[in-house]
Amino acid sequence: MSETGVLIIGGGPAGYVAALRVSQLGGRATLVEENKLGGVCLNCGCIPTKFLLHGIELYHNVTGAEQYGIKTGNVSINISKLQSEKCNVVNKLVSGVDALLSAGRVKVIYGRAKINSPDNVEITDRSGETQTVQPDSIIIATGARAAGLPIPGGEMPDILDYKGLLELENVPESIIMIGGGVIGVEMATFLNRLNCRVSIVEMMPRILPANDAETVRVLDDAMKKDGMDIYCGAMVEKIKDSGKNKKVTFSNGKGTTTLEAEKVAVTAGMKPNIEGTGLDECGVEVNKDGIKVNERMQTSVPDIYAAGDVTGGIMLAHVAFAEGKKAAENAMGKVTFMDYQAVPQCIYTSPELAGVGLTEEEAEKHYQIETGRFPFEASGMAAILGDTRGFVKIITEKKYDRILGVHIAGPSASHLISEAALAIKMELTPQEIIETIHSHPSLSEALWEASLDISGETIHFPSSK
Amino acid sequence: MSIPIKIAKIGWGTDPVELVEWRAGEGGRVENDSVILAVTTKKIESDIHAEGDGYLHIVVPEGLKAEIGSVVGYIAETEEELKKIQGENPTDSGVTVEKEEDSIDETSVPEAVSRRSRKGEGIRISPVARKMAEENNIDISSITGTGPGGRIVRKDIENAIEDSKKPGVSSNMQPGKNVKSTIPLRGMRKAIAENMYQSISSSAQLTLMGEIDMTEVVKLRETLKAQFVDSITFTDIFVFVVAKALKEHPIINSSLEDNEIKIWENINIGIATAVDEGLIVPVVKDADKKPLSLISREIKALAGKAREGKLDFEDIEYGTFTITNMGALGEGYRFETVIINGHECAILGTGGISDRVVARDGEIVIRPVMTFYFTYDHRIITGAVAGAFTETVRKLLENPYLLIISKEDI
Repeated sequence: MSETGVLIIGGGPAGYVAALRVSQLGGRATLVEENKLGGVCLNCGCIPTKFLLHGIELYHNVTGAEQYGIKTGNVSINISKLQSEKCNVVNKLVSGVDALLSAGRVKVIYGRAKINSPDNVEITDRSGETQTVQPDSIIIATGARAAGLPIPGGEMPDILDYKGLLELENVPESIIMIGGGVIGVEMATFLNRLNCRVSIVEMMPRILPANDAETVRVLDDAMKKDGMDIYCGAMVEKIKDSGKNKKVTFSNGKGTTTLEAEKVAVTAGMKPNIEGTGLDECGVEVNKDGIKVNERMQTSVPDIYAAGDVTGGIMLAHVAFAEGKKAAENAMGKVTFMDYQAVPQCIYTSPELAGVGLTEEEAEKHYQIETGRFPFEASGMAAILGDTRGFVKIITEKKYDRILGVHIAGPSASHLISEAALAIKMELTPQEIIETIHSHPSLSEALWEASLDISGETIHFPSSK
Repeated sequence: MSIPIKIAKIGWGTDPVELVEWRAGEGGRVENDSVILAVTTKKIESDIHAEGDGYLHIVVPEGLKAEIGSVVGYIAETEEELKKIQGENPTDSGVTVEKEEDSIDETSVPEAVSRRSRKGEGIRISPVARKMAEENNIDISSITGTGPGGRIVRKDIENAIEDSKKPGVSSNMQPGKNVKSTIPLRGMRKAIAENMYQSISSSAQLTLMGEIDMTEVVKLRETLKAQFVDSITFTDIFVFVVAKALKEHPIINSSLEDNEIKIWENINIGIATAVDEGLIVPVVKDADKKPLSLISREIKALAGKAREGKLDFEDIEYGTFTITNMGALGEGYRFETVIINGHECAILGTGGISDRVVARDGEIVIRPVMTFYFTYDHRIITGAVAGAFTETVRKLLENPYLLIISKEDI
């Protein structure tokens, strides 16, 4: 083992998990981080968004508390206080990662790394000092960043990306979100509840094009009902200043439309952070999405691994955790493989969306399928919570009863999806879910009922079959 | 009226039996008392006879297992009856059949029994993989799981299905190694394969080898032969001698079961017997309590039954030690590492008797010498104990007069 051991470049979810895993397996880990530990997830992704969304949901709940006989009086929300509290939580979690790494005896160097060869890496620290280390192997986990929009006006500095959106100190009067992906719809939900007029412009025929269409329809309806404008199949052509506002022009099949708003945010497109890491020089293959890796997270160069957003693929923190762990295990001489068949995906909107496995559209392409559904309007717990929008859907392969996917739109979807993820990972059939007693009253009964619906045997709702 | 064909209890076994061969096809005409079905347990093959004339309807096809007491087919009296039964009881596609409810007149097998027994209960396998295996007739006990903790997962079954589709094609395509014919692994052949592998993979076996001067035993046998109509064989003498030796070394007559060594009260000696289909081990019960003449008679009777395939379950159960005599293979100075049978802890192999040059009292002499090989489970028996036991056997065979008195008498 060299003094450096396994060198991990990047201290985000993939990187810090990889470093801790190396250490758990008895290896020496050195981690190089350019900016702050925790990556996008902690600093400008999952954690801060969810903090803001939770804050706004609380606000929403308080204003809606009269339904439960609670008299609230004049309720207001202080955005800069919400923002500073968000920073506190982020900082606390970042220092938590720092503590975890030092407890795991991971050496952290703040700086930039350039790979000369698999066993020769130049690290320039923040003071500009350069040292050369000889790692046993390398894990690249440098992440990805907003790609920007290659259209006239797309380069304007006051166009917001996901980072800018998270740091808004004042709620704009109106905003146009270019990109109806996860970040777009989540931030739209946040701003909409602060009475900002939100328009979403999405290139694909629907928002969240990669998610299950039926569940997305529930969200699409809810967002429109909440006053958001959604334009799909829209190619943005240009962005122009218009006084203190901005104008966004897009075309769809019918013609050209121009919208005007105080702010414009681009929430589409990510690109891998690979510049200056020396990948070309040492022959690591890269495609348009990121670094090419195999199931063991190995790049085209032996002893160089990559994990997380830098490899393209599913850009989610929990996928990065899993990839970082696999990369570390393989770098430590184990042979383990990444398995993407049960990756839950959650969208923290109102209602929440969550899914795992194949969408109904994907499943139909490859299998003869059966589906079971259960609407939350028939759920006792959803009625108690005062939110009966949405449903749970389970999709199975007809021949073997294999659960191909589960998709949820509705209250606490992000929590409910875990049971489905376990079921898919363990290759259960709906029968095992049916035979498992689900507590009452709880939202989890919805998956149980949806499983029963496959054979038309729902209890608390007349089956559609 | 139709007659259900039920799996009768064979011996004491309660394990499901495997259906080896239907002697008539679906809808075929069968006659009262003719053999219609061959079944096998791990140990024994048995025939099921028709209990009336009629047309056969098969519910459980060959190669599948069936519970004791279950209905595996019907004999229909008329062709109309046959059609009716075929409609009511379709041929099983791959799952073991449900236990039949008590009524015989109730011809329909229950469609869904909630707690039906499934093949390979206890094997770690995902529900989806199990279902796929059942639908594709894949034997899950032969599959190595690659999931967490060796669990069999969907991918393993997919690979097995893939493999099962191509054996003819792919193995015939192997350059320079063409399949001439294949022998299905079933019945006794399968039982031997499973038992031998189970034995060698679940114990610590090693073999002690040596030779025995057979001068006196040869003389003894000639003398006895002259006196009896039924000739006493070497095997008979070995069983008689080994029974005495086992009494003297009880630890050799034991099994490692449930984390403890069980020393058996009974000395039941199995005799490995070659038959057409392979090998079977009939057992002489309480051999230590029987005179040589009785042992000899019993062995002859068992060997006869074995050759005719008529051994009962009782004949092959409860062995505590096994002897395999290779003398029948002819003379020749050979050694073999025999494999322990079942849950026993040792087996004695004896080779051919051949004239060898040996040293006796400083002289070079020619003596009839027999090789022996004693395989024992080192988890139970140490080398010293194995040595002591084989030494007792050697002493008794080289000096059979010692058999007149038992050690306890002195």
